[in-house]
Amino acid sequence: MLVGIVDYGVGNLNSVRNMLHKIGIKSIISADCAELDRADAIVLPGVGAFGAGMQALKQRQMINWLGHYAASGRMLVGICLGMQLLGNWSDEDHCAGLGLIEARFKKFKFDYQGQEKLPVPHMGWNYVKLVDGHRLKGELLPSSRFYFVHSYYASDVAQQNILLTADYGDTFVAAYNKNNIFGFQFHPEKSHLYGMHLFRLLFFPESIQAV
Amino acid sequence: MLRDRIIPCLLLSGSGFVKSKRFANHRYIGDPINTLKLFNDKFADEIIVLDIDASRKGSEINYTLIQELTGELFMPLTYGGGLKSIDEIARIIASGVEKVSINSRNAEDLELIRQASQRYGAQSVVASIDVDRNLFGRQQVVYQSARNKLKTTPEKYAAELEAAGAGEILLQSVFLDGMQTGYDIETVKSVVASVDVPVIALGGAGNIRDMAKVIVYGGAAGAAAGSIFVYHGDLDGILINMPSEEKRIRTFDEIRKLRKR
Repeated sequence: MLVGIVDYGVGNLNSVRNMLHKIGIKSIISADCAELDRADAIVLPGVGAFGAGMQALKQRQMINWLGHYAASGRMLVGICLGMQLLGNWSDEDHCAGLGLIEARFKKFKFDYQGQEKLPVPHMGWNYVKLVDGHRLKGELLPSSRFYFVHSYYASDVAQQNILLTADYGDTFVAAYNKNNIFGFQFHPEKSHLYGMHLFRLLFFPESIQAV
Repeated sequence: MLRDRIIPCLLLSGSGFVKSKRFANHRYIGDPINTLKLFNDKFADEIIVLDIDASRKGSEINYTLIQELTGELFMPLTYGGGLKSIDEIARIIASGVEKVSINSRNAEDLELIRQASQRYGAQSVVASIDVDRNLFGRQQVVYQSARNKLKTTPEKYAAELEAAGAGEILLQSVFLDGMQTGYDIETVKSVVASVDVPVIALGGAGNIRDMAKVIVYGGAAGAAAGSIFVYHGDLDGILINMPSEEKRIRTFDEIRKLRKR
């Protein structure tokens, strides 16, 4: 298994690579689509604003290639901003995404009556719930928690595409999945053994001993 | 439900970690790489590293060390100290740091906060505010290792920093630094009320109860501390430690119940 990490000038690529290395997965960080196309799976990382992220992909002529890669049936994993870019639309910068999975990203708002006013961004460790009938190749570790940093969340996601949920004021979609496409709102690469286990489930399920 | 954020904060001086009292009397704690590895192995939720030489003496930011530190950390790291330009921030983020904390530079103007926030998003930008108690017991905003004062209140300043693009406020009490007598909950409370972004309290924690109190009573989004994570026992022997999961949950539950009464 070779994982390609998309370098489009946005965010922290080394941390993804470090964790893959830790579980024994080879990876390349590249801005070159031809080189990335050799990979068995692609990680689209990213932090920052949605508009800037789409712009960066456009400038590097990666948009079509990502579509082709997704159509090839190989795994495409978006993390944080990378997850959001997989969707159709974000209210942040009022900008269209890659449209590989149906979702519209909306800003967290806690303004209706009787609701506790929570800080935005949603920042810190939160617990997640894996939906029944998911397509991961095993369960998460018990009481799995992950590191989140985001102000926008996925809405209008088809029920069958919801993979993980978490609670922040309300229940929201912490991860989605459609066929070979996965999006995680949190940072598995910064989530200790919980993230490591999730990476194993995705990229190296053979390494997990059956319980 | 978001987990309560308790955050070890470590001070880098030269090539070692130190701990201070009221921003002075720095005592050597240990080698940064080993120390952070220990926190990683104890599943710390996140870590703040502040280079006090880079801000105090204006020494060059130690990028090599920062990159080495992030290599083995599977948790988010916030770096602060000596950040004056967007290029420096770009280098720090590229070396694997999630968030940058900007302090003294904000005393000039908020341009760097603005730029960093535009480029990396507000969630990557922490504005740090140091507050000291003046002769009349009033809270005063200070900067450059508490050598200079700003003519503003912590509340007003925090609101300005938020408007400029800070995604988080790190509110530190100089007066309580290293004292282990509890946080300045009143100041935390009023700063929390003046902004929408998360406020992290730093300075004064003597135990996990203090941390629970500043979160539950003060409304802080997180509690950062130095001493309690690096010292152990009455004689302040050096021992890297984190509260157990059970103790942490029990203490926070207890304080939340007390509050409800």
